[in-house]
Amino acid sequence: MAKITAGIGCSHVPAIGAAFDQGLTQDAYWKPLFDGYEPAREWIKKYKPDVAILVYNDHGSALTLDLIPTLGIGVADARCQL
Amino acid sequence: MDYNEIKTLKAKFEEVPGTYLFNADRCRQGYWLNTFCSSMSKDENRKAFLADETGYLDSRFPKLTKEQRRCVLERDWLGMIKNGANIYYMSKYGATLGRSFQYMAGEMTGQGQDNYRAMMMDGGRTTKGNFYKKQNGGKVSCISNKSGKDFSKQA
Repeated sequence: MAKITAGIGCSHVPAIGAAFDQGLTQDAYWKPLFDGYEPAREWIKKYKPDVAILVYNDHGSALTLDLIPTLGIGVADARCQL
Repeated sequence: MDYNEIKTLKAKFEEVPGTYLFNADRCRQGYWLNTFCSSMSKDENRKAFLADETGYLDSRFPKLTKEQRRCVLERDWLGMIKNGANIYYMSKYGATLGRSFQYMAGEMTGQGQDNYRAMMMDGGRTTKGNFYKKQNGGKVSCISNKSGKDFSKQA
């Protein structure tokens, strides 16, 4: 039987991803937000979960206005390296 | 919720200064505008657009209204929102031009990026006076929450 070990919530502004990609995590505007991720980062290093279920909003990235499913399940081969 | 209640609610949202709610009406109005923005997710489309902006719009998105077309070509971000753009699609177009959310927000509010950024770092925009258009003559107040400074663009 699987055991749910944690639930982590996060603000889901798409700009966060762009700031990360552009190396702005230490920028004064973004630093307070990215500092908030540190405890979760430490936690996940210590207690590596076997499975992580990510629930998120696509924000028009993979899907267009022509197809807006209420719920979709994304599947990928690649595994995130922690 | 019956039709009249929806109508009343919709009218109430239009009373918020500087806010253009992305509702079903704007979604319909902005379909081609958002589809254009969405097309910017592909590198080949970005290259084609940047090489010939009007040619790209005319050949692939002839159903854009004149006003939507003008907003795209003149980078009128608020104009796009008023004409049915959704910020999440619009961000693809912004990124194509090297513009961030922060830049677009600064342009849309008329504050400019630096003032907008400074206001957000000073606790964000106050809600005081920003609930109804009649409170501040239709203008959006740019007073910050923390120090109460006015971050409107200084002329």
